[in-house]
Amino acid sequence: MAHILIADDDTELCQLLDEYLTQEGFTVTSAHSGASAADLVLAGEHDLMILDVMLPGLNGFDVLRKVRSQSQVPILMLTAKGEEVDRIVGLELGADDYLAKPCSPRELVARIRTIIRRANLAPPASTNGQVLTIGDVELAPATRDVIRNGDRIQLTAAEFDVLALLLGHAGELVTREQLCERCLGRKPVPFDRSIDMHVSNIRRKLGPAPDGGDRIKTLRGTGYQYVAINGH
Amino acid sequence: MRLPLFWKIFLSFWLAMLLMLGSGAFLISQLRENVIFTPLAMGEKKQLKYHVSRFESRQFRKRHFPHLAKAKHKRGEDTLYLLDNQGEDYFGRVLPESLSLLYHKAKKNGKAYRVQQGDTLLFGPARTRFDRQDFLLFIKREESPMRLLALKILIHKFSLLQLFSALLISALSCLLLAWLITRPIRMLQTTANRIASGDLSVRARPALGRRNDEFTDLARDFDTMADQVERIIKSQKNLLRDVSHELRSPLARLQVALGLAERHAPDAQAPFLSRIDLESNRLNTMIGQLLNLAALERGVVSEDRTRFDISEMLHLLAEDARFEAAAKNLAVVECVAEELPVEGYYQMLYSALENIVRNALRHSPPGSTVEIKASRDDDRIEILICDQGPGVAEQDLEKIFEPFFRPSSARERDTGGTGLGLAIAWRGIAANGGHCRARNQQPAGLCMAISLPVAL
Ligand SMILES: Nc1ncnc2c1ncn2[C@@H]1O[C@H](COP(=O)(O)OP(=O)(O)OP(=O)(O)O)[C@@H](O)[C@H]1O
Ligand SMILES: [Mg+2]
Repeated sequence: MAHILIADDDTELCQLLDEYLTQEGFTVTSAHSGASAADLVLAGEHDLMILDVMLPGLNGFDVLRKVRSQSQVPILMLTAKGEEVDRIVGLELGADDYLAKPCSPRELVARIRTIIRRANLAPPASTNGQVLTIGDVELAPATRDVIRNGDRIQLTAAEFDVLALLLGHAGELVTREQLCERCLGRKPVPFDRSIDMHVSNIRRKLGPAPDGGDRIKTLRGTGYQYVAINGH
Repeated sequence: MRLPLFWKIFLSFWLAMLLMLGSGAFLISQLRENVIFTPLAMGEKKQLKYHVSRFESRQFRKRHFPHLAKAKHKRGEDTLYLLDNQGEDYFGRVLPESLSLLYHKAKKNGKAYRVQQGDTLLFGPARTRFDRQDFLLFIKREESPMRLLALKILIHKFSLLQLFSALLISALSCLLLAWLITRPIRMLQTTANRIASGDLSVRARPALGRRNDEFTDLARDFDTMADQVERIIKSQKNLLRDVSHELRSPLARLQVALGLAERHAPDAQAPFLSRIDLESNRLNTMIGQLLNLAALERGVVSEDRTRFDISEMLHLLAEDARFEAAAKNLAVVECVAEELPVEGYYQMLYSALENIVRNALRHSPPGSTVEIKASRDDDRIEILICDQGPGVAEQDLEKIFEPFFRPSSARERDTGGTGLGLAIAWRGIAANGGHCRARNQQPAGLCMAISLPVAL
């Protein structure tokens, strides 16, 4: 049974969500400040954190930064509707997905399920652990490690899945639709920038290709392609 | 025609200066026209003596006339008048008016004078005996034409040069004056512009330095106003943030409670519950859009300017539009030029264009086509987003960019819009240095034309 941490300063909302999610079969803990949320989630007992951006004291972004420096636990971010910039900043800081608040609890549950399913899809040693090597990048599904030139690169679960899919189809086009369905576990919502943000995070973290060019090409409007480097 | 204050001040000062110079010159020339009696100069006394001795030493006769009455002089030609007691000329000539004036004045005061009138100089008298009578000798000197010509040329030359330098000097001093007067105004203007462009922290008084006059008073008043505006805007900004947060919290709770209620409610209540869900979603969207609009109106931008290719953005939009359009069996046609570099706020432009595309999809009849076109025209990027829907009544083409404007409210209820989308889009495009216009196309449909500056 998945254990979920809700970080939101609205205690009444936390109670209601607690009731709803418990009925759905989750175990729920609430934290009402940024600092306590970060401490709780870093204790490592939770499978997922629902993080509200508007938190007193340490705000959601600070919590995100602090948690991501030590842990890759899945984080679903709640942003206010109309604040697209918050979403982008959140995804950049390594949130796995976002949901506009207020949201319908049904959608929240669906989102939680896909994130948790994805995280459990690649548990250590569950796959045959075949290491993918393209150029100077090495991806180990078993340990969810990405190594570039001997350096370990820290990727979130969502970013890892996106990169794995792109590397698995290096030199081929992977559509945004495929990426969204396979990596975020949902149909793409129109006018949604999540996949693009994850790809741009991966680009930033991996840096340019050894020959100075792009590692991941954008194919206008349709999708992305990992540029295959021959000779390795 | 607009004439800047600087040139008004400069021209009026200059005109005033030239008028003063002109009237001064006119007055002086007027004075010279009047008959003014001044004492004789040394040379003129000598001249008179010389002629008296000429008359008295040699025995001139009447027959020597007219040589007698004329004499050459180095500065011109002299005419001699011998006036008797009654003021009659010995040679019977008619006297010039100023000579008879001189005669009477000299006789009354028993003194000699000179009178200068233009090129003519009159002086005298000196007593002399001639032809056994007593006379008073006067000399009229016409300054020689040669000398006059030389003088005129000289004056001419001088006055051209002088005129020119007078014009130049007066123009320069007037320019300086106008600049000095308008400088503080320009400083105030710069400050006002910076405040208008969103930098609320600048103040005018420090820019004016150590001067202390009406301008510094104005600057102080201006600063008071700026303080006030800054305070109001800040409090409004905080208020809006707080209001939105406070309004959203109950909405968030409402939705979860609704979710719980739906789970336990009998089927008969389901439509009402889903209606509550719909309306709370609308409320939520509206709050978000109002916030967006308010932020744009205040010029508050929460993202950085970046450089990007708008053709890629349009591809993404078209792709998403296709996805959404599939349900209505719409075709989305793209005709977008490669490489349309723009420098601006990506997210802001994206949501502005997204709204326009969504409007087009929403108003398209099933089975029709939505067109997305973009091309480069010199230093502008022209984007066209056209549909084949009902379009908008001609008189409403500009009004649809106003907040909450909806041409036919009954129909719009069904489409569920809030009427804020285009108001936000319009301001978002303007904040990126562009503009946006709506027009109807033939045979049916609305065309949105967006123009943006090309990034250098
Ligand atoms: N493509 C179009 N064809 C016909 N009418 C349009 C079109 N686009 C906009 N309009 C008219 O302009 C009005 C204002 O549009 P706007 O996008 O501002 O609001 P909205 O779409 O109703 O609501 P929302 O805030 O959800 O976007 C609409 O209500 C509609 O009547
Ligand atoms: Mg709209």
